[in-house]
Amino acid sequence: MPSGLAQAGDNDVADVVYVDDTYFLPPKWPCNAGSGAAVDDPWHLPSAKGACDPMPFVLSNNTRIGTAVQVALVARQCQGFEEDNQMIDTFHTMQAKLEATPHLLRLGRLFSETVLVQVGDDEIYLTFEKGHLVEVAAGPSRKTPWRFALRTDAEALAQFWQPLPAPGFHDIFGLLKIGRGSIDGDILCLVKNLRFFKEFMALPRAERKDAA
Amino acid sequence: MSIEPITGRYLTVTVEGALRRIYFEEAGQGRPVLCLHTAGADTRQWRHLMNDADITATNRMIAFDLPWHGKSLPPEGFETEEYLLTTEAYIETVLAVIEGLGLEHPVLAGCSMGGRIALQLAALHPEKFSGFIAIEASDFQPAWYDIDWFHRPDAHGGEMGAALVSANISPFAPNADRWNTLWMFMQSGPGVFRGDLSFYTKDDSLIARLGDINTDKTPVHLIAGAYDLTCTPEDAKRTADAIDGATLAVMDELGHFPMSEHPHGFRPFFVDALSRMPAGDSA
Repeated sequence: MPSGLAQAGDNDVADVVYVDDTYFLPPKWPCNAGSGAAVDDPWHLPSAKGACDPMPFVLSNNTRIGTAVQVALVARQCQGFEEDNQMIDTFHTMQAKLEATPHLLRLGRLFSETVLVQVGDDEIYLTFEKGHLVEVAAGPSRKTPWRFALRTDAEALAQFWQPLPAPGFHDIFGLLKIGRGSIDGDILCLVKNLRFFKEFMALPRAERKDAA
Repeated sequence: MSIEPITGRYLTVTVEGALRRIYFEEAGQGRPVLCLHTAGADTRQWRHLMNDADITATNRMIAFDLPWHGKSLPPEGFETEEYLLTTEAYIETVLAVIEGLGLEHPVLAGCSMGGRIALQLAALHPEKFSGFIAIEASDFQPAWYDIDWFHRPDAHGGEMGAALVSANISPFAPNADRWNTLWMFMQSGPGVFRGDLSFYTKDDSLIARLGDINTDKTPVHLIAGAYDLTCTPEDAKRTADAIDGATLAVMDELGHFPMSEHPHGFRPFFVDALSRMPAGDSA
């Protein structure tokens, strides 16, 4: 490792090294497409974690965590993400949208917790670090501690994400009120970060065209 | 540039044996309409209706900040006092304001806990008023949250309160009005929202009094928004059904703070409510 580089030891999705404010994955190119992926397509990565030789990937974000999110987005593809899991896909889209929403990152700057979102029988573990969503992991998992959980069903969540949801579907507490959701765990932690989490959960909701 | 017709002044009255310096605003002339704000907020919730020239042409719209709210100071010695609003103190304050301002049989319009008190006054002191408009009001609402969340040293009660009550705002609300509404909660003094909720979520004394309300003398009109999780249209209907002669309007696209979260959407419902009230004897 060149002098001046340091290991980002707490990131378990990929080896990340950084110099000052520039971060990159160790340069191993081309991608070893063990599952038959095209080697000239850096976004088409093999299925087994660790089987991928990451492409050169230099990021220039000013925050290490913001970079970790982008690294995770790449690493996710290395892990053979299940393309048919639309809900996981949605949360990855939310992950990217959160990164593009500066005011939410500011609101969440003290929020570093893992949240369980249960949609029907599917468990999704969302790990936030300082407001950034650094990992979206499919459950079930008995080993993953979480701070609080939001449990609902896919149809309710689809309605929640409508631009103009029906009464009760317009807020996570509304889901509770109409019997389509529950919240448990450290609820005070949720309340302390309520605006952040509610706005994060509403990220897929398309903005109304006529909104003032 | 524009200057609004709303004017603000201060009134000092005695409530619970101590002086209260109360800020009030008014606009218009004619029938007096006294407006009560929700928990954790202040008179700014009414500013849109008070700036409505058609309404103020025949109505003297008046709103005041409860002590501890908005520009009304808490009483002397508040620094060692736990603020817990009571039905009795709220009623005494409303009556003191009416007397202090010399209002003759005003219409009383209140939202949320203000609506609750409007119904309490309809039962206990109807002779002081000409009619009652109870918005997002019901007989009783137990808390579906822990009110102690909103007053603690390690977190901002106003920000948490605003995030919670946003659940009661309709998605039809214009964004600017939504956030103007939430800003009032963000500005609420420490412990004030909690103290308001203490009264609102624990005092169920109105239930037994609803049968005492005589709508022949003082009409009662309730208004409820479909997006209100705290006082649902079902809660309002249950309450209206218990008041002989009371009427109810449900607003499909509004929530718990209709006059400030969606002024344009609320206006026709408020105009309709005013039309159900007597013309007044001080016009």
